[in-house]
Amino acid sequence: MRSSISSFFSKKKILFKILFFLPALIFSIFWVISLIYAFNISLFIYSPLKMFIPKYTIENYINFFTNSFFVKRIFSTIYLSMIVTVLTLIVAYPVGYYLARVSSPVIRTIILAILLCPFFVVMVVRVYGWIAILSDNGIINNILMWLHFIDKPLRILYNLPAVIIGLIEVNLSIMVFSIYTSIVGIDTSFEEAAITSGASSFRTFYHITLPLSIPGIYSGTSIIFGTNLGAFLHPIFLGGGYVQTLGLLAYKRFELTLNWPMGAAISFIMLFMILSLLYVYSKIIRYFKIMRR
Amino acid sequence: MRITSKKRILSIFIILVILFLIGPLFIVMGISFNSGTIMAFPPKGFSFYWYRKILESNSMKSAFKMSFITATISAFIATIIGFLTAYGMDRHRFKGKSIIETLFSAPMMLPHMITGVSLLTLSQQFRLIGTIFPILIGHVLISFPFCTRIISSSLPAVDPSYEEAAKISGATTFQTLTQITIPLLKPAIISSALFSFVISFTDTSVALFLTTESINTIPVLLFQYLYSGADPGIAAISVLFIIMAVVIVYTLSRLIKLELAI
Repeated sequence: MRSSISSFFSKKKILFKILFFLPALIFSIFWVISLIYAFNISLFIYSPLKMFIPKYTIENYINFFTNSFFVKRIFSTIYLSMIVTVLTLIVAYPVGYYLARVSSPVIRTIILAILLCPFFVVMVVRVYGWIAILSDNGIINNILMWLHFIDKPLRILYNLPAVIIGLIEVNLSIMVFSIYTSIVGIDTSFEEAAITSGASSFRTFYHITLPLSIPGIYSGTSIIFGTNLGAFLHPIFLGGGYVQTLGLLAYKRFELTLNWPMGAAISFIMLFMILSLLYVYSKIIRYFKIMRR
Repeated sequence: MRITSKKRILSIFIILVILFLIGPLFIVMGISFNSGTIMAFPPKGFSFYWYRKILESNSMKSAFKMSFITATISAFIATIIGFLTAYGMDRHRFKGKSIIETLFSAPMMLPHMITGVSLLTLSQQFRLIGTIFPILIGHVLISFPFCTRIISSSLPAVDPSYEEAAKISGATTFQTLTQITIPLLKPAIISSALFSFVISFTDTSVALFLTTESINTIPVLLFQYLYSGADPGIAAISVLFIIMAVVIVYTLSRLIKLELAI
């Protein structure tokens, strides 16, 4: 008697626990189903008239991997993402460090607010800002010509560096926050102990601060790396056709040629690439952490 | 603390980074007041012409309505889901928690394009293209993890003993939730709502795949505008976005410690 009542209540408790996750689960399952649908479409045949014919084939994937242009895009996308991630890290780390160690809370709040603002501005707007800065008619060229440093405008837009600059700008906020969060968690007494023991500030940084901030570096870089691998907005507007990422290739197929099967296939190749690279990255980090012990 | 040369270099570097981040925004604001048709900066002549032009544009008005409605509903749903998930994660332990966390965060972490593309294929199958539903679902998917995070980081401040006290005094779980827990979490809940509103309002990558001529959002409109050749009109809309961003960040900073949001 007693056991059945208590088991009834424990069942009710479990049901209750699940209730909290139910709404999120519904949406997530919807998302997974949509992924399955998209994968399904990537296995169909393209038809210029009807967008796709529901007959199964893997020709989209074969076409992709036998096309050297497409395969090279995989590597150029990874290459672009790595450069942007590394450069963002280099720029963001000092900022995050400064934010974590600055003594005045007012300055900290102000800088955090400044970092957060661009995050809420539509990416198209930020891209437009870079076009206005970097174009032949833009502010950099205008100033340089006004100072008579150059006669003709420098071509700094519609190429790879422009895309890299634009991507760094949108990634900085996230990276700085990651670094800031992890350095803030480092007990300053570790650093103080090192300095009072006679270590130079560089050694303190290299042996104490840097290793302890690796979780922040890892989480920030993995978020940015994944997002950059799927970037297509910056390549479209700042790349001038020279920067073709996988995301851009997929977008073109969905919006221009309406080749949904191929577009879906490219999207999944991109997804697979992102997941496997992130997995490898996590393994590398784990390996280094074990090595340190 | 003595201002060493290292600190000075660091400070200069920080200022440069800040300029790097907000420079483009200022330039865009300057262009919006341009009286000519080219994107010249500094602007040649001062005029509100572009503001008038976009405010009178019909496509802009309907896109704004669409964006606003979508963002409001999406924020509402995302905040509720975020609250429930954060509460469930915090109060109950169970196996497989990290797998569920990863699953919930996935649409936000992976490129939004993938969510957009997948929802497009699904909504094509079920003839939902041209309705608001796929956009809503997409926006909720990419914003509710943020809400979960914001509310999760505020939950530790809500002492479970308050809830225990309420339950001992005879309140049902529902009453405890609505009269004790939620009011204590008000700043976090409002922040989540603001965050998810902005994420939905400014989202480009998901909406780009899910909009049609009849249903358009402002970011997509901006995208098309820029794609077909930019004129300073885009700068005028951009200024509105910048102002919105500043207002929201200011409000957020009043509600929660900014560091907790990430």
